[in-house]
Amino acid sequence: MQRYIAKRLVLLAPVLFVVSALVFALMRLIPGDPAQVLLGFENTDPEQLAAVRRDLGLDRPITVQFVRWLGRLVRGDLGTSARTGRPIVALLAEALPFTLELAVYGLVLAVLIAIPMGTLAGTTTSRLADAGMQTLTLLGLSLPAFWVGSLFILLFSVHLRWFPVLSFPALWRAPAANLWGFFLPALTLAIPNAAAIARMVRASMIAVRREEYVKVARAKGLTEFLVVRRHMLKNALIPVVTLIGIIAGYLLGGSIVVEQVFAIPGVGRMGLQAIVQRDYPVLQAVVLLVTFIFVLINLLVDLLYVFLDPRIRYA
Amino acid sequence: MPDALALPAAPRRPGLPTLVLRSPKSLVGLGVLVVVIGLALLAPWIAPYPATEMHAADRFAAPGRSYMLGSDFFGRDLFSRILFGYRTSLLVAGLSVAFALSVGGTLGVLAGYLGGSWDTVIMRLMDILFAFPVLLLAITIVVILGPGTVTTLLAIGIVYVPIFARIGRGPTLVVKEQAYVEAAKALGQRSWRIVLTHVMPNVSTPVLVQATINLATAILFESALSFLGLGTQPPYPSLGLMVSEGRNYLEQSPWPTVFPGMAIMLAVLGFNLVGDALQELLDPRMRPAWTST
Repeated sequence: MQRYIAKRLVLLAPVLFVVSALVFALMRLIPGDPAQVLLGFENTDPEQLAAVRRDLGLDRPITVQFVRWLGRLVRGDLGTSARTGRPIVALLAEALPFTLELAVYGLVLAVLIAIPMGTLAGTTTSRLADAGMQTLTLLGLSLPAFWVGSLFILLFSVHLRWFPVLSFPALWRAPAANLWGFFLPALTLAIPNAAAIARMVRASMIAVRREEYVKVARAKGLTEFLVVRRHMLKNALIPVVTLIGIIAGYLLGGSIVVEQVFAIPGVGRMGLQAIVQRDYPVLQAVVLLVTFIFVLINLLVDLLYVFLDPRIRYA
Repeated sequence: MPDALALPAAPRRPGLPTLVLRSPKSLVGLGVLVVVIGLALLAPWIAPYPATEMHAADRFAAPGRSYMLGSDFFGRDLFSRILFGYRTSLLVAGLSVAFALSVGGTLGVLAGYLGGSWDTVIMRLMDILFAFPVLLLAITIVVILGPGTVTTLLAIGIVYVPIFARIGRGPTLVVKEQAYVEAAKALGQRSWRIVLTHVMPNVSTPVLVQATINLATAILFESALSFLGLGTQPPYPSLGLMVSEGRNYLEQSPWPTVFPGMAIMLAVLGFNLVGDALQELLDPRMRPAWTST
């Protein structure tokens, strides 16, 4: 197993390199001259434009630009915003905690909703209860997050005034107010994922139901609750953990929409604003950061899988 | 020759269409889809108003006789706009999945059938696409190509390609080793004929199920991009864009936000119901607990 982990870690470097190269190339495909954006569209003085291009290194061959960019990236320098002139690392450091909190909160809510629901649906002998649970989860998968979020705001913040609007104090300063303020966005993010996880829990409970060890547990005279909890759930959760890992990656992408709906100043909203303002260095940094995190989470999930199920052996 | 050697006829397994029509889940799903697709197709004839026609005197009309589902900020009829919005949603979803299915499916089958370095190159390329979060990749593609309906279609299509490549490759690897493929090779059949006559039929079922599920997610995807202002551009109706516009006036009238969202949900639910039923019908392990009692 150690060899497998070592191999995966060694492979991480080329993956990150290819991803970086691709992000760099994609950003160069965006039409428009970055120097012109920096200078402002009203300024068309060719000499000034040439000076900005020289400053940015845009007059050098693309390969030179890439190597320079990569060199700075390795040292943790993501450049400066074309709009505000601030270092992008500082901007990301402000925005990332919001996005991470939203994703973690959303994931926790999703798991809390999904595991009991899925377990119940997978073990119930009532056709009606199973059908009801399945309808609920399919509905959860069919809801557009931006719509659910908007309705939540209308109902719970505007009409009932239970939740504050646009109030996201830092977690370490006001933990209770923070968790309350983030509840609706996190729930919005959680719903489709809770549905997906609940379906997986159900399917995997159904699959382990016929296993010999479950029959043995029943034959030993264990109560149904203990059979489910000790024997079925433990085994059924292995594929579920993989799905949760995959979802953790997708939550980062999904948070783009939720951040926009709830006006949370996270990384996703930062990326969208960068698109509107044509601040391509910022957009590039956002795409790169989110993709890096995504790749790392995927690796973590693969490794976790090996730890969870000792039956799995990797060559 | 006497029939002494004839085996008793095996009980015939009902075909997929029969099974689909027997499952209540897929029947409900198909019913929903018939309505949604019907509304989209008939939009120019059944819509009470042109989708972009404004009625300044009837801003935020409540649902009623003149405007079945009410009207928006510009006094445009919400029902008519939803009908035309369905056209955009279904067209983008259908074409993007068709694109992903043909490009991804073909790549997957080729990778699986040809094997060796073809397999490595194709599947590593797919892995790279998989390394990006889907929404982020789609947004990047839209920024490069410029926002619009056609771009949305391409962006969603490209993002889905690796999914179909993986789905196409798996069964191909299995079929390739079967005796009948060996026999076809021994008979001197050309590769493309083997792929068409032996591999494709085995790949088509899982690909079809995946396509149904992806049609559901593609509708959500298209609406999310439109909501973010990166999809279909105003004044053309798109369901995501309608929700985004309606949100600005939630306190004046909830209907311009509520109904388009509901319309999206309905279409997505239809595809999800059918996709789910197909998956269950094709995988006997998915039979729920209550069937064994």
